[in-house]
Amino acid sequence: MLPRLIAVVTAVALVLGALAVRNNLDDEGDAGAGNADGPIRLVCARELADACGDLEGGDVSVVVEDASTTADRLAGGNGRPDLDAWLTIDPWPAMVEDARARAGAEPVLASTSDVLARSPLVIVAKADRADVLARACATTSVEWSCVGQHAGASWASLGGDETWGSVRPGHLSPDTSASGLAVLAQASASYAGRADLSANDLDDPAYRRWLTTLERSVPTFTPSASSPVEEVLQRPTYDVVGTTEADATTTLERSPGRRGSLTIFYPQPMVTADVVLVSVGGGALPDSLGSDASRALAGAGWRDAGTGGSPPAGAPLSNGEPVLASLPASSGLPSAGTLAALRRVWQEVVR
Amino acid sequence: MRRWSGARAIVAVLAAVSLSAACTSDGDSSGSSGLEGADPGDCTPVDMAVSPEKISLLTELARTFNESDAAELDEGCVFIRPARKSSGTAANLLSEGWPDEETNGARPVVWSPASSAWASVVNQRLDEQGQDPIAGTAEPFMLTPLVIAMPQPMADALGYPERAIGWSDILALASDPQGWAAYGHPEWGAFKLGKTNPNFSTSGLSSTIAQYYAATGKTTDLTLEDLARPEVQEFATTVESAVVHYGDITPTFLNNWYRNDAQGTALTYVSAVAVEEKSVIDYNQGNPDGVLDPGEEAVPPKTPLVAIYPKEGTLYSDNPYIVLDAPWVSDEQREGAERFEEFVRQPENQEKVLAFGFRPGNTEVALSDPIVAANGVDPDQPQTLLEVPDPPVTVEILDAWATQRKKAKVLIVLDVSGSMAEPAGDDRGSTKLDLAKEAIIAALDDFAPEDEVGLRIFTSDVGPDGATTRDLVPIGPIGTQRETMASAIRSLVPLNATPLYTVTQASYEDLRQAYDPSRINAVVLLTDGRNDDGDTSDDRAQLDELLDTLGSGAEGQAARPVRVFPIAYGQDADIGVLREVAEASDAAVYDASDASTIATVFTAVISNF
Repeated sequence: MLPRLIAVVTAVALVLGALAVRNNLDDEGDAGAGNADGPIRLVCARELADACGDLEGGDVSVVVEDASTTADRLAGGNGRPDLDAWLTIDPWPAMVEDARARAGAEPVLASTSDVLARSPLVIVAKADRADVLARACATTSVEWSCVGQHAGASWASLGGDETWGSVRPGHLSPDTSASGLAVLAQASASYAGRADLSANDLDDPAYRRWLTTLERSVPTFTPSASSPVEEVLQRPTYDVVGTTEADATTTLERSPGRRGSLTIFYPQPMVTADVVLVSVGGGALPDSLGSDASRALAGAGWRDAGTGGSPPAGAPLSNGEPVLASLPASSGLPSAGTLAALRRVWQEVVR
Repeated sequence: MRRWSGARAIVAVLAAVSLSAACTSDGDSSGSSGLEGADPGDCTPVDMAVSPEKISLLTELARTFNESDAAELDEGCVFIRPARKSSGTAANLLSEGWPDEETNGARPVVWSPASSAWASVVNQRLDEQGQDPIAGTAEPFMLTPLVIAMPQPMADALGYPERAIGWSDILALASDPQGWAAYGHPEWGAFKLGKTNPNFSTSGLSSTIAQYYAATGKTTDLTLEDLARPEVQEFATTVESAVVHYGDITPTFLNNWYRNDAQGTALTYVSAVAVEEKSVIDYNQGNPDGVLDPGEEAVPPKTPLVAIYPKEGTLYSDNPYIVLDAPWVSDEQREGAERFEEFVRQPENQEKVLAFGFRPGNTEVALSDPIVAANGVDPDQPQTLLEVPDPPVTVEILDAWATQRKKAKVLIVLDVSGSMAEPAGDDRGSTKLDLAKEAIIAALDDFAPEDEVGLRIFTSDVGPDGATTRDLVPIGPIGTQRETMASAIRSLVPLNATPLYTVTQASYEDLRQAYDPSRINAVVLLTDGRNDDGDTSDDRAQLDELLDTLGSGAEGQAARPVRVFPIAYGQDADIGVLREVAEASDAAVYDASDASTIATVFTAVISNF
C-alpha cells in the first residue's frame, strides 16, 4: 500500500512541478505587454502628468518622470525594461533607439503609436514686457530670435521700466524635459529663420553666441512651480517663457484673475509637441489605452491629433476667433539626431 | 632635458596622449564600440584592440561574423569583441604585458593598429627587455596611403596632376619668400603646412619619414648615415618651418579647414596638410572628421581638397591584422581570430572596407567608389611606395625631428582664481591648482630647449593697482629657465576672481606684439571657471571684442597668427566660450573636465608645438 501511495504522491508532484515550470516559461516568454501578473506599467513624461492622472487605476499603473529619465534608462539598459508603455513627446522614442544603435544594442521599443494629441509651442510673456520687446525688435509679436537678442539686457535699455531689471527668459530644462528641448529647438529655428535644422547649424559660431546669451539669461531651468507659466504667475522669476499651449491655457484657466497680465504668442516657425504612446519591449498594448490617453490629453488642454483640433479653452483670440485655429501637418521639430545634438550643445552652453 | 627622445618616449607619450585624445573635442573619443565587453554567452571571447578610425567597420563585421556559422568551431564557438584603442596606447600596453585589464580593457588576442610601424616599436621594446616579440608578420586587410591634401585651386596653381608634386616642391614653396605670389596668388600669402606631431599621430610619423626619403632620393634602406647628412637635415628643417602648428590628431586641421571653408577663408588658413587618403574622401564628402554625429548632415565644402601623392613616394597606413603571440592567447582564441581574419578578407566584406574609404587588402576587390576622382583621390596612385625604416632609423628620425621641427613661442596663462582651491577629486586630497601645477611642471620637459616659454598667472587684484595678471616668468628660452619656471609654479596659491575675457585678450595681444614669424606663436590658457571680473554688465561686450580680435587676427592669417589653445579645467570651466575662443583663432579646445586628466591633457596641448 505504502509504495503505491508514494508512487501516486510522486506522480502528482511531478505533474505539479511540470505545470509550475511551464507557467514560469510562459511568463518569461510572454509576448504581450510585459507584466503578466499586474497592471500595465505606464510611464508618462512629466508634461503629461495631468492627463496621466486620469489613466491611473485598474489595469494601468502610472509613473510620472522626466522624459530624459525614461530615455536614459531605455537607452542604456540591457535587461528587460521595467515598463510596458511610455507616453511621451515625439521624437524621444527615436532618440532612444538612435542611442541604442550607436551603442550596438538591439532596439527596445516594440512600436510607436500614431500621434495621439498635439499642442503648439507658445511664448507667454508679461503683457507690459511683451510690448517693450516687440517695439525693440520692430515686430508685432514676440519671437525667440528677438528674446535671444535682448536676453540679459536691462529693460530700461529697451525702453522698459527700470524696476523690471533684466530680460529674463525661461523654459524647462532641455536636458530633462521633452517640452523644454522642443522649446529650445523652436528658439534655434527662430534664430536660423527656418525649421529644417541639422546638427551642422549648431556649429555656427554666431548661433552659439546667440544661444549662450539666451540660455545664460535664464534664471533657473527648474522652477519651483509646476510649470514655467505657473512660475511667472507666482513669483518674478521670468518675464517671458516658452511652453506648450496646453500648459499655458490650463494654468491660466486656473488663475483667471491674473490672465490679463500675460499674453500668449504663437512664435514662428510653428512647432508642436506631439504625444505618442510607445509599447516597450514586449507586445501590443490594449487599443483602449491609446484612446483613453487621447481623451485624457484633450481634457488637459491638448488638441486632437487627427483634425488639427479645436483650440483649448483659454487659447488666445483675435476678434473673437482663435488666433491659431488649426495646426500644421507635422511637428516642425528637427530629426531625433539633431535634437540629441542640440541637447549636447545646450549642456555645453549652460555648463 | 630633451623632448620626445627615443622609442621609449614615443610609446610613453603615445600612452599619455591616448587619454587626452579622448578628452579633446575633436578626437579619438572613446566610448562603447558596441561589442567591447559584450557577453559572449557560451562562446569563447576573442578580444581585439582596434585603432579608432576603423572601430565602426570592424564592429559591424564582427556582429555579422558572430551570428554566422563561421564562428562555430569543431567544439564550441567564438565571439569577436573589437575595442577601440589608439595605436600608440595599445603599443605601450603591449610593451608592458597589458597590465590592469579593469582599466585598460581585456587583453587582446588580435591587434590592428593603423600601421605596421607600431608593431616594430612593440617588438623592439620587448627585445630591449629581453622578451620575445609578440607582434608577428601580418598581412594588411585594408590600406590607405599618406597624401598631401591641398585645396583644389592651390593644386591647380601648382599644375597638379599634370605636373607631379612632392615634398621637394613643398620645400621650394616653404623657402620662397614670395610664397603663393610666385604662383600668381599673392592673396593666399605664405605657404603654410599642417602636420601632426609624429610622436602622437600615424600620419605625422609617416609624413616625417617620407620627408626624409624625399631628402635622400631613396625609397628603401634609409640609414642613420643618411639622416646625418647636412643637406638632409636642412631639407627637413625647411619643410618644418612652414608648419602652422602640430598637434595630436589630424581632425583638428580638417575641422578648422572646413570651418574656414564656410567662412571663405580656407585658402589662407593652411595650404596643405599631411593626412591619410581616407581623410580627403571624408572631407570632400562633407564629413571632415570622418564621424557623422547624430543629426549631422554631410555638406560638401565649397573648395574641395585634392590628394597629392608625393612624387618621391609615400607610405601606407596598412592596418595589419596581428594575431598576437602572447601568453594569454589560447589555441581556441587563435583559431577564432584566424576565422575572423578569413571572414574579413572575403570579397563581400572587403566591399564594406571600400565603402568606408579604405583600400581593400584583398586585391580581388576592384577599387571603385568612393576612391574615385570625384572625391579628390586617384585610385591609380601612389606609383611609388616607401619602405618602413628599421626601428632604430625610425627612432632617430623622431629624435632628429625634435630638433628640426619648428620652434615655439608660448605664453602659458594660468588661472589662479579662488576656485582652483577646490578638491580635484583624486585620492591624495589635491586641489585643482595642485594638479595643474604638477601637470605644467611635468610638461615643461616636453618643450625643446630652444622653445621660448613664459608664464603668466591671472586672477583679480593679483598685482598693484588692481592688475589682473602677473608675469611670473617672461617669455624666454625654456632651456635656460625651466627650473625658474618650475619654482615659480610650485609657489602658486589660489587667489581671487576670474577675469577671463580681458586677460585672454591682453595675452593674445601681447603675443601679437612680440610675434616671431619663425616660430609657432601661441597662448595656452588654463582656466577652471567662467568670466568673473566683478561686473557682469560688460561681459557680453568683452567677449564680443575678444572674439572679434581673435577672428580678425586669424582671418587671412594676415601676418601674425597667434593661436589660443584653451584648456577647460574641471566641471565648472566655460567650455562653450573656450571653444569659441579656440575656433576664432584656428586652434582647438582641450577638455579636462575630469581634473585628474590634466597631466595627459596638458601633454596633448603641448603636442601642438
